[in-house]
Order: sequence, then C-alpha cells, then structure tokens
Amino acid sequence: MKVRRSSTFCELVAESFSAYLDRSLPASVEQEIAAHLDQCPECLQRLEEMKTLIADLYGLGGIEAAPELAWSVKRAVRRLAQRQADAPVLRPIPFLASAAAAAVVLVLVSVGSGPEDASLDQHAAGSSEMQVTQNPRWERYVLPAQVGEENVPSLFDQQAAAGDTSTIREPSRIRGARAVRF
Amino acid sequence: MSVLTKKDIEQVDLPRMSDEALLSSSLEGNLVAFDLLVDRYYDRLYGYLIRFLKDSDTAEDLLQETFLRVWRKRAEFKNIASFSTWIYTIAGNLARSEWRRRKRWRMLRIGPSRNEEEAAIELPDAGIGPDLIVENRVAIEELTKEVHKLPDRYREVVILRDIQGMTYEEIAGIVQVPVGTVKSRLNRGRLILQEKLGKWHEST
Repeated sequence: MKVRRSSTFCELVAESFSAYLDRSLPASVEQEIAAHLDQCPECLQRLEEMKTLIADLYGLGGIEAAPELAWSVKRAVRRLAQRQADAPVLRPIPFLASAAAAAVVLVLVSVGSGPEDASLDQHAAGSSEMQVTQNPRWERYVLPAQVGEENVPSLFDQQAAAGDTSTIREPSRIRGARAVRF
Repeated sequence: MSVLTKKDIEQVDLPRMSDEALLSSSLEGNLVAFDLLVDRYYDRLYGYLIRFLKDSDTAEDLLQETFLRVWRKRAEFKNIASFSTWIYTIAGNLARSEWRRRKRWRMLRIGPSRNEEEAAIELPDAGIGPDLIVENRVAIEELTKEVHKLPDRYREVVILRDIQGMTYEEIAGIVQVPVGTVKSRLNRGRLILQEKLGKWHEST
C-alpha cells in the first residue's frame, strides 16, 4: 500500500483520530491510517498525545458534590410538593364556563335579533342546565385557573388520569395562586 | 409480629428499581423514590454543570432547578429516551440558557471588565485529589481552564464523553444532534485542547 505523507493528509488523519481510537472507521480507512502512522512519527506522536489527553480528561471527572447539596435539593422538592398539595381547593369548570359563555353569546344575539329568537335562547339555556344537573362533578367546578405554568403536570392531571376525582384539585392553575417556581 | 404492607415492600425494593420505575413511583407521590433519583444523579449532574459553567454557585442553583423541573414534568416523561438522557437534557438546556445569558451580559458590559477567561477556576477541592490520573495540580488546572475555554458546542461533548464517560448515542440525545455531529465535535474539541496544551507545555 502506498502511504501518503503530506501535511494535508496528516491533517486529514488527525481529523479521524477520535474515530480511529473508537475503531469506528471503515476497515480500509483504518488500515490506511495505521500504515500512515507507521511511517509518520509526527502523526503517531499526536495520536499518543490525544490518548494521554483523553486519559487526563477522564481523570478530571468525579467532582464530589457535598452531601448537603443533595439534602438541599430534596428539601426544595418537598417544599414544592407540599405547596402543590396545600394550595386551596378550587376546581376548574370548563363545561360550566363554556355554557355560560355560550349563554352570553346567545343573549347578545337575541338582543340584536329581536323577539322571534327568544325560543332559541330558552332552548339553549334549558339544555345547558339539563347537562349540568346530569353530571354532579360540574357542581364543584369554579372558574378555570391560570398561573404562568401552563405545561406543568399537576396532581389534578395525575388524579384525573388515575380516575380518582374524589379529592380532585388543581393547585398550580388556580387564578391568583402563587407560582411554585423557586 | 408486624406485617409488612405492600407499600413497605415497595419501599424496600426501591434501591433495586430502575430510574424509570422510580420516576413512575414518584408520580404516585412517593418522595422516597424521588430522593433515590436525587442520590443517583446529583453528583454527576453537579460535575457536568460546574464544568460547563465554571461557577459552583450557579451550578448548585441549576442542579436544584433541574430536579424541580423533573418533579414538575415527571408526568410528561416518555420512555422514548432513558431517564438519564432526559435529566441531562433538562440540565443541559438550563446550562446553555445560563451561558447565553452570561454572554449577552458580557457583550453589554462597558469598560474594563473581569476577564472570565483568566479568572481562577472555581472548583471544589473535593474533586482534585489523589485519585486523579493527572498528578500535577497545575496541569490539572490548565487542562480544566482549556476545557472551559472551548466553544460551547465542543465543550459540552468533551465533558459528556471524556469526563462523564457517556456514549455517543446518549450525548446525541442530550445535545439533540446526530451521532455523527457528536463525533466530529468531539474530535475537533480534542484537537483544539491538544493544540492549546501543546503550546502550554512548550511554554513551561
């Protein structure tokens, strides 16, 4: 095999050192580099230096954090969990809020469209009331909440996912509640 | 004679559980399970953050924020990636944001300023001890300083691969780039370090 020796080729070899050390190069390329290293002491030295560097870097690892840091983190997580659990019990009322919004729209429409639409309003109000009384959960709903943590999973989500609605609460989305970020 | 409940048995088994199983248990409000995750990762994450940011106070703050985010978002974890990759991704995103914020402040700073590149490297003594392969403390500090001087994209992969010993696939998941990009960044980072340290050795 003809072994090339030029500064350009040496640079190309250097660019492949990591892959060469990982044995992740195609066999033909690996052979070509090995042959080059046999002939080029400069590249061989650079490769040896890189091996030493990698060992030295590995030796840098293992910064020991103080155990108090772990305790501090655990305490912070507990405070957060406690805040989530202690937040006032207010429940969202998506369906009732929607129904109320729809009723307002219908009232506005009826005001604008005259007495011939009054039956529609009554029908809408009646149907919405009927739906509310069909589901006792809606009786507990209050205004939908909003705190600046829209994507935060909450006890509400977990309980709802588990089908447990007996103590359902949504502390992180309560209007005016304190955000639980530290 | 006391009878062990199912919950007691689960608590005993916790140390043998995988990270993902512990996270799942914490979803049910099990703080002991979450404590174990903290125990497993706080050291490694702290090492990663302090090497990335070169500032122990900020590293501690971001470490805490990382775990708080994990707690808040634990229901969103999907088993597509490992828990390890997920938590490192959260820590990495926080560290990169902090680094960018600092860069902006450096750019806005007027007049003579503290040269952070030359500033003493703030590392706890605990990490520099007899177990290190490199015995010369001056050389260690020089190497640490040069790692910190690396451009962000190279520094991150060098820390994760060469200092923390992660696989290319794990790093690709954390940094959110293809494996090939991780490899090329790593090689480039190593070559830069080699060059800088070569000059340093020549000068000393």
